[in-house]
Amino acid sequence: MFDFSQLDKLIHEKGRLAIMTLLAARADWPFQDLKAELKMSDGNLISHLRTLHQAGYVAYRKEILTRPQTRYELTDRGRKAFRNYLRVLEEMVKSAKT
Amino acid sequence: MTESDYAGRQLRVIRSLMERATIYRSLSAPTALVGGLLSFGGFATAYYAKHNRHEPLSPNQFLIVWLVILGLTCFTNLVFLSRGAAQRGERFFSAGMKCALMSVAPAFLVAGALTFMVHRPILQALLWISFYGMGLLATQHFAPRSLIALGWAFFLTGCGLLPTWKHLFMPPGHGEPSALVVSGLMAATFGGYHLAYAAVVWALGEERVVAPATVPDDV
Repeated sequence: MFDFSQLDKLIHEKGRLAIMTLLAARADWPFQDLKAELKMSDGNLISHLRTLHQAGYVAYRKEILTRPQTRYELTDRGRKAFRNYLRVLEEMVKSAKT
Repeated sequence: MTESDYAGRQLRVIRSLMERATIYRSLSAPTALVGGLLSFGGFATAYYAKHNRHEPLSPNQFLIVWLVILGLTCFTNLVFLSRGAAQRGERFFSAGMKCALMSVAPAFLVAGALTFMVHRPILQALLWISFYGMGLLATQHFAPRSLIALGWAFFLTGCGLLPTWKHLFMPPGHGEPSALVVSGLMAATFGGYHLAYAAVVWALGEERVVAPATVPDDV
């Protein structure tokens, strides 16, 4: 039996895992693009991003180009946590094979 | 579902999400098929003009024929990209498309400007081949492998022909290559390469609709 407690509960939540995955795929994401990609409501996305930010997994910066926008990116800590989460999943698959 | 099945499924969804976020195909396979066939149509037009009308295409007519083919191919690409985005539940003007447009713009704009500065069909064709390859290669950080291979095919063909075209298409005693010869070159590259690209994409199933951006519920 695999110990699910090894999975980072913060990342494991469905919406936050999707956010972490997208942030891990690119250097940074504007809020609107994240919202469009994940088809989340503003409130839901903001809530998840706030949780990840409070955990130190996500950083953001506000900029004004033609219009104000907020860009999000993974911090080193967040990237490490995401890699660790993937490693745990891979171990679950491997342990079932052996 | 066992833990291993769950973990495997979770990893597959993460992978598909990352691919959706990082890979963008700016040229769809159906567009490549249509563009390839239209290129052979361009060659057929030049052939008809020379052998049936007995009046080879002038440089201006050559340019018009290939600009019409370009316009039709671009329109087809917009239609298929739009349909693909709708199937995947994405916005048409997605982050991937913005990135692709910004990447190809420099090469395509220079090619466009040079087209109207060079009034020789052979040089125009070589510019189009080279710069089209450069444009595609500019998207290589997020393009699928087949599109990168297509970019290299065009770029290397252009690089190979630019210094050698006089020997190949203008042997001693012969004048400027005719519109028919240049159209043949266009059909071989823009026609042949695009048909090969479409065949590879379909054969590998690269253009299948990727799983939607959702993650399985928690256990």
